[in-house]
Amino acid sequence: MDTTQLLKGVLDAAVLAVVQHDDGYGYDIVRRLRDAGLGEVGDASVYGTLRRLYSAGALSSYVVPSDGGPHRKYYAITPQGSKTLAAQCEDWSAFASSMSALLTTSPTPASLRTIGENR
Amino acid sequence: MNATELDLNLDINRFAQQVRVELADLPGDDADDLLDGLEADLAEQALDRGEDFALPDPATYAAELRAAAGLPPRAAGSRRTSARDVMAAISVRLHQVESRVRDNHAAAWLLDLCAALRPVWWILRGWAWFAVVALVLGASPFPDALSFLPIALLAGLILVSVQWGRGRWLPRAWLRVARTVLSVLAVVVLPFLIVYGAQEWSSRGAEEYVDPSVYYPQGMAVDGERVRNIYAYDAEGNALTDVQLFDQDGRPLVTTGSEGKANAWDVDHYFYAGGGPVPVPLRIPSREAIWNVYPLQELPAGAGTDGLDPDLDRAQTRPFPYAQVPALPAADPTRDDTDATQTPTATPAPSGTPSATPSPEEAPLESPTP
Repeated sequence: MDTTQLLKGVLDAAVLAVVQHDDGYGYDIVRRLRDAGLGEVGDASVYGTLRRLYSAGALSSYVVPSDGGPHRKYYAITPQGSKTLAAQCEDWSAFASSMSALLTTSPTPASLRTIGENR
Repeated sequence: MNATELDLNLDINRFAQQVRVELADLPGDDADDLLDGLEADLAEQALDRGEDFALPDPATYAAELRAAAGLPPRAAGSRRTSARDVMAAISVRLHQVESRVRDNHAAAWLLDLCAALRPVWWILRGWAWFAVVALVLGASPFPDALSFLPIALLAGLILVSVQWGRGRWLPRAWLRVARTVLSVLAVVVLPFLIVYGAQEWSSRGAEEYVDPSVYYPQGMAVDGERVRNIYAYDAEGNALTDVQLFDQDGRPLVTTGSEGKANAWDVDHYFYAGGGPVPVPLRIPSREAIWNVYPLQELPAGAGTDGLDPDLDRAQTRPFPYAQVPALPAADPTRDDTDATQTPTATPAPSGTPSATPSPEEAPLESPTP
């Protein structure tokens, strides 16, 4: 299954989840998602999502100067973001359990007919 | 930073510009927010991935950014054109031209060579900036190795140029603009500087090779070393003063050569400004300076011999190298000393390092007869 399609719907929740306890900057967040097993997440999608969540007020940002390298823009979750995350958590749990139930209980055909069986 | 990292950083820089072009229709804040930190993130990702890292397609990347950020897809015709967008577009266009040229094997080879020579351009650019500053201030574009300030300025400008070349020290956008403007300036100025430099060089060469008189001593020399003074001794080995010397053609034998006479020297300019003793000619009122009466009087150190006004009144006859030299064997009573045409059988020419009392080995004759 193409997991990138699946990811699209849940990327907001995933991003909020990885920054809920610890602030992070762009690539840092990408890395956390990949470490969490979402290996196919595109970095542009993550950066875009960060930007959108920031515009929506779910994230705040601040710049951290670094010696030698370029400045880093860190994102932190806002109270509003926490609420959004909690709501998405519930939605996801409900959705995931329904989906799991559907997938595990769906009857498999008793036997598959093979080509030429009727001959 | 090694060459590969450098190339990678340049690639990332170019990639970010390409993405910026793709996002050019967005209001400035939106594009900036999306692109802020993009280069740093990509560089870090490249470090993480190592060999696996490859830059994605800028257009796809930009589209993904837009979609994820909930921004509208690129709208044709709604471009907001800023200087930065134009620069980025030019950069992208150059990149496209480059990839087309790279299809040609020889051209690719040449491009790689030019890329390898980039540091040379950075140094030349630093020097060009220095030269412009120097010329504006009326100084030479070729700094004197001994003068601290120009060397420090040159080193500083080259450092800035190299750092800018490596994409460092550009924390503000206007600095990138400044880099471009100053690079163009350097490109314009460099050909003139090189021509100017070549002229300087060839004129220096002319002085060295066409007119050797400037560098090779004129006047009387022994094995290439200028003779400063001449000390004569008589047959008994006594020091002589006021000896007039002439050459085989009857011309005055002068240490200063023709140059002293031609320029009416009042001191021997070959030794002048050296700080040491400087010979001066014999002066007789209403006559030209007389250079062939030996030993010449000399100005001691300090009497204007450092190149200031020579204090001619302080000229004095310096002590002879030897107070006394061995007498000639021919100086016996039977010999007719008054016969000027008689040739001496031995030449009393002291050689070696002068000392107040020559040892027997240094003495010009095998058997001195005091």
